[in-house]
Amino acid sequence: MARVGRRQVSIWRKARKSLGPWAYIAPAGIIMAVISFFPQAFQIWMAFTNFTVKNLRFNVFNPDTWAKYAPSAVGFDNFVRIIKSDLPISTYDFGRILGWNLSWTFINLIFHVSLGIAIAMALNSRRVFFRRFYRAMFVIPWALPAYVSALTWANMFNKDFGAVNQLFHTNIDWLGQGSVAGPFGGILSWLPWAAYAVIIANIWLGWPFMMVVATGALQSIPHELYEASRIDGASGWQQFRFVTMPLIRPAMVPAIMLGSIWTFNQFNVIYFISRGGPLGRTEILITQAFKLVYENQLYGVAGAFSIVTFFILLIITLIQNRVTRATESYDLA
Amino acid sequence: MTLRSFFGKEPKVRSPWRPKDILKQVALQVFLLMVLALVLFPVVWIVSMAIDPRNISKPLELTLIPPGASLAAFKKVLFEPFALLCSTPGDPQSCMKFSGLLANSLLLSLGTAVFAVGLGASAAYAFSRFKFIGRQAGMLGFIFLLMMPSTGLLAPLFVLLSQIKVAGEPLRSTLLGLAIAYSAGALPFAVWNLKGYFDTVPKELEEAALVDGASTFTTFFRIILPLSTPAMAVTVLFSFMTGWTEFILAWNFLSKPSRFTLAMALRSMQGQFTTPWSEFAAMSILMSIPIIVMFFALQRWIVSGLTIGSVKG
Amino acid sequence: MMFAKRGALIAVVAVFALVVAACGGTSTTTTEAGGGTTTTAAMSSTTTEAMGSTTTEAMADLTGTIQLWHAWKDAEIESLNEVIAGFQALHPNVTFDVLYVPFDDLQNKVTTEWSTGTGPSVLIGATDWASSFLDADLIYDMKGMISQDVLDTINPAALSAVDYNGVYAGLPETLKGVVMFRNKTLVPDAPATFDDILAAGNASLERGFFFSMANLVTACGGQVADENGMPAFNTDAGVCWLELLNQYPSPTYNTDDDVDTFKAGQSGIVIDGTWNIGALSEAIGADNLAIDAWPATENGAMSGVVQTESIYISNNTTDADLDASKAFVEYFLSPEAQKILSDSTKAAHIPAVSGVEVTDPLLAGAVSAFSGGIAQPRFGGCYWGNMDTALNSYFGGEATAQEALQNAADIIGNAVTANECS
Repeated sequence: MARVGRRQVSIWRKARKSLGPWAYIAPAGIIMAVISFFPQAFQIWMAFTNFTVKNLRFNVFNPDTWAKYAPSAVGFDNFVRIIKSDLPISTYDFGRILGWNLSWTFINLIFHVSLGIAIAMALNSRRVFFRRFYRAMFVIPWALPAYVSALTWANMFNKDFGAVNQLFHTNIDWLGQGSVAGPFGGILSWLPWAAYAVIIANIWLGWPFMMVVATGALQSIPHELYEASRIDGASGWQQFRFVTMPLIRPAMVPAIMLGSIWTFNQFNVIYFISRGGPLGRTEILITQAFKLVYENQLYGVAGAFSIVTFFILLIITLIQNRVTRATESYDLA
Repeated sequence: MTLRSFFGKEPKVRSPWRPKDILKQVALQVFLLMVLALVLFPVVWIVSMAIDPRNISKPLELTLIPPGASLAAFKKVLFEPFALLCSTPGDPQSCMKFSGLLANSLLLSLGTAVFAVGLGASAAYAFSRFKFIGRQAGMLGFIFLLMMPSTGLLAPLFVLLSQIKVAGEPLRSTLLGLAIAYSAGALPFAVWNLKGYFDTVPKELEEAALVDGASTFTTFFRIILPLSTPAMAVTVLFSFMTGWTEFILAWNFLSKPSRFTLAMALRSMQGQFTTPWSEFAAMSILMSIPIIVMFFALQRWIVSGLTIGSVKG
Repeated sequence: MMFAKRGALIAVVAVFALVVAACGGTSTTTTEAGGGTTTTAAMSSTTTEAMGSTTTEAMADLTGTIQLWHAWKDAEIESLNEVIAGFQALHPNVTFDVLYVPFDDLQNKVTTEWSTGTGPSVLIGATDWASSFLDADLIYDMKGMISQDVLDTINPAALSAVDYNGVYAGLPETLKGVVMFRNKTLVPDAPATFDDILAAGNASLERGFFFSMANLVTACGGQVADENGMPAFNTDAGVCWLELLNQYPSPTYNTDDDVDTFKAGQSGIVIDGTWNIGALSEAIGADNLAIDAWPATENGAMSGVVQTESIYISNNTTDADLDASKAFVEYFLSPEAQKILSDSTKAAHIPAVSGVEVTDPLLAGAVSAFSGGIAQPRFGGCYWGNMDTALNSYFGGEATAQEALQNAADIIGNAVTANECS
């Protein structure tokens, strides 16, 4: 008798309990399905059509608009054109954009991480006067809205009246949209002055984040480890390599992964400082996608571009995952 | 934050000052001062532009405090109406002022933050704690959304939000609709980050509470959320910043000057051919202050909110 | 306890924000168009029936709301407001809803809004947006809308710029373009030939494609585009043109550094647009500024492109709003309104119609400079970026003149054929 009763009670309780998860998901789920998933699905559909301005009038629920405004499916045509650099934009070159985007991310990350760690270590020394003041000030580049920083740097890099040229008494045309000349020849000749300008600006923007992460990680390393290694006769550099580096690694790795995605998609710095110029030499994938929507109104091609960017980002993330996992097990061993 | 804590109470280091220590300290200070100069240089530049009364297209000389420095640009931006953002032509009273723009910006940013946190936290909790049909698919979906760029969403979002009508006008042309559009972009990251953080909260705490008779809802509010303050802080900060500084979608969606935001006003100051740099700089500084304040207030949570959450990803 | 309070607080804030946002969104319905049309419609129909429709009575009975969007700034807006006031004096029952949108955002905003059935009734915007609007079926053909009398007064070259196979996609409402400015204190006499400019030694000339393309036609006898909009610069005349540009003193390319130098009083001659008349007058003094006739070259004369700015009527506009919009466009193109717009202390717009007296010497100089100018190429969207690339590769020494021009001609030709010019 009692056993049957208990089982019945537990079924009721299970049913009532499972209302819980659905109550949490339902509002969020429905709203997100509509505002997050649906537009993306729409964009994916557009990627396989020749969607442009006139197709905006196309309304699935209104059959009158079908004949006149429906976009026509073009299969993988958009993708092929993107990769073969066959778009009506004279400065467009997919290979070059991708190559620059990857180099840009890599160069920035190297500077961000090394500067961040170096300065975090300097501030973590045993005795530093005004330590907290410095720490507070150094966060400012990260705290300022990126749009404001980008425009300030654009102003500073102006050829005749910018702060940079005035400070160094140079007359470099940093942001000129005219020529693609750069400071170095040979292997670096494909980088125009504007590339250096945006790299400098982005380094300024990006290292505080790494510094803050590194500071947190450094503070968790017990002093005794350093004492012990010094007693064992380790030099400063060896201490860094064998004590500091492995112990800040768990914190730095996720920060690097985040930072690389942020840098890869750094729209503000590129768009508002060099505008992707000169002649598309500093264009990255995300600024090109934006221009396709905003300036050329080729919505279908832009959708295909987004999908291509997605796959590239996916591949990069997977590679990063593999590399960190591989080196991690090596360290622990 | 008191002045003393800002400048740092040095921990008591008992060893005496040796010459080597003095040298090290001097070298350190020199290095840090150099870094400080590089960090603050653009900030000083923009402040100097804002107090420059000449307001010429670009400043001609490198001067720290320009001759005749004045706060006129700040006064103009703060108290005078923005001549370009008027509801009725020719009537200065109908033009937006800083206070009105500020109110709209606050509304929009807070609304976006509330949406992102509210929807994000509840969805993240469900994904973190419950096993339900479609959980795997949902997680994959979020990773997908995270990495898809949102630049091409302008047209779909525009059309979508124009279909929904609120009180006779499309949702799109209201601040609410804009907040929804911003949340659409902010939610994937918010859910992913919050879920990662919730995963680190030990299940034993909730189980103990459930045994004591608390409902799922109570455990969510009283145990999980308070322990996840860092990740929530990050979500609030990032979504607030989006609402505060975004202008491209804003200019595309909104058409009534009474709803315009600070970011839109800043964009309108950029001329097609010339820009009034003093006012532009003054406006930029004023707009940046709340963000910087928020940043410092939430600083100690931001790093842990970002990194612990993303380790699992 | 603390947690419950926090939870409650969050909930309250959330609800509050939602409520305020929703309220904030709907609070401005009072000034909507709905109020204007209904009240006077009944009255106007009875009066016209009773008194027979004399033109002034019918005109005064215009109702409706005109939603006007533009990207004009400060000084220009003052003139715009005067024109609106002038129109409202004639038609007091028409209400206006004017919105400024930053130029870079205007085309996109208008396109998306018109496509979903909202947006302005009248738009003042760039002429080269016309092809994209027409293609997307967003605007009316002005030929059927505006009376022929008004159309006949419009500058023919300007009108040809908006003529797409007989369809008038918007109408030109002002001329502007590239002219040569001179600082009278630095260069006392107008340069009669290109060599005079070189001799003066203090010129800073802009050779960006937009600022220099007219020389291809007037100085070298070539063509930028043919009647179908296809590139036609790929000839010896094109090479002549590039070589002329190569001789420009202190050349700049698509920056306003030359303008800044001129404003600072450090250069005496600059090539720029008439939209900068106000700024340049303010910088060096209106009395010291002059616009001269274009100097002669070996085989012709230099010149600048003559642009128009267009006024469009959206084809979402109907009934009373449409009547009001048509009347407004006609008023905008009347000598009275054009004279208001040519006020050199405000908009300083050069009239697009004949019959307007221009007293200001600078504007008169511009008008005479425009007599030797050319209209900008159709499908401009395909030309700007590609020509900039070509010119830069030539100036940067990466390609010969022929190669650069050939390259550009191929890309532009394909784009125009594929109809992908925005």
